[in-house]
Amino acid sequence: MALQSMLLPDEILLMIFSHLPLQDIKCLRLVCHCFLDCFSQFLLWSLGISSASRSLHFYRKVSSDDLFRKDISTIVYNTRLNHTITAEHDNVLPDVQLAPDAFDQCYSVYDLLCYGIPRLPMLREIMITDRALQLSPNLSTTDSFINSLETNQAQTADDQLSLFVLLRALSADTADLRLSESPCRIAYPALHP
Amino acid sequence: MATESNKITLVSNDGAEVVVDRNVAERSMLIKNMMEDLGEAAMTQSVPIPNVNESVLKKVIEWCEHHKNDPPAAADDDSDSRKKTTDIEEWDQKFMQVDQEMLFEIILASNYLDIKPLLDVGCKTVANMIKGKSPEEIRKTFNITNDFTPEEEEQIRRENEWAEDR
Repeated sequence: MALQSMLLPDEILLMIFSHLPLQDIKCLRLVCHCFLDCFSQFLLWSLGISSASRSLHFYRKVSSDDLFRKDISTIVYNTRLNHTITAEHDNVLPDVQLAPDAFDQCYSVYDLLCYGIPRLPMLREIMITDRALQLSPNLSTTDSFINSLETNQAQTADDQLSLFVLLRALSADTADLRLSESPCRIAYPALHP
Repeated sequence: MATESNKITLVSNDGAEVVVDRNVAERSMLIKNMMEDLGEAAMTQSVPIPNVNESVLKKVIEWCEHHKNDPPAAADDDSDSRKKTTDIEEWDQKFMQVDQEMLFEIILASNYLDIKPLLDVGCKTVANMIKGKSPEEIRKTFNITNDFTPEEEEQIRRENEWAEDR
């Protein structure tokens, strides 16, 4: 008897597939329309930003795509990201149609985040780290975010500036973000130049 | 109706009466709440379980019997860390060695009866049947028809690659 013919309600299908890793979710999306509709939301929940142009383009595409953008809950930000970014114009996915918008005018992390944050309605967390992390829904709470700020080794002027522009982004039009409520808790030298 | 003071009688949707210890039946939050609502009357009258047939009800009760002394679920039982594991204890693995129809019926019954640990075991069992399989193998396992056009499949593959590109 097939899963579909059992007419398992979506809530149960979602419970079943919440136990599966990303690779299996990808396979499930290829099984049938029913699964595709149900499980695309598990495809992506966490978004990493690094200075690689591929990563930036991925961030841009995800922030603009209705399938993926609505379920992103976390951005993981690498403090080693160069604070100055020049947007490029190559097409990683030529089939994805992006309306002309302000992204190409973005030249800073601040602008980059301001571009993405309003487009990610489920975004609840921006994590700063200088380490490679396994992206998962279990990323930091506010407290561990603060800890990561205190423990990371971002000591160069560029890193401090990157943090500074990120914190500015957090306080700009991000009413639903946890951290926007208490940026003053983050005692970081760059906040007091 | 109850046969002993600590027992209650459940009636499946095909009319079968199943007598069970109250503390076993109350692994089901649905029944537990029903008992509390009915008060004393719960011990003297049958409790209808309209969505579950006899064979599934007995199977569910077998699980409840084995787990009657389990501690209550932890407060963070719905955490993502729990969801991401598919470990199943040995007794439960054997318990779930049933045909697919029964497996899905158990899942539906545990959902209806609100027995979260059993629902969790059922979902993990199905998840384990999927793990590591290709789309075609999953279709074969669950007798699912491929309703994609080649163009649609190609589009989904592109989206999947995109999700990995980070």
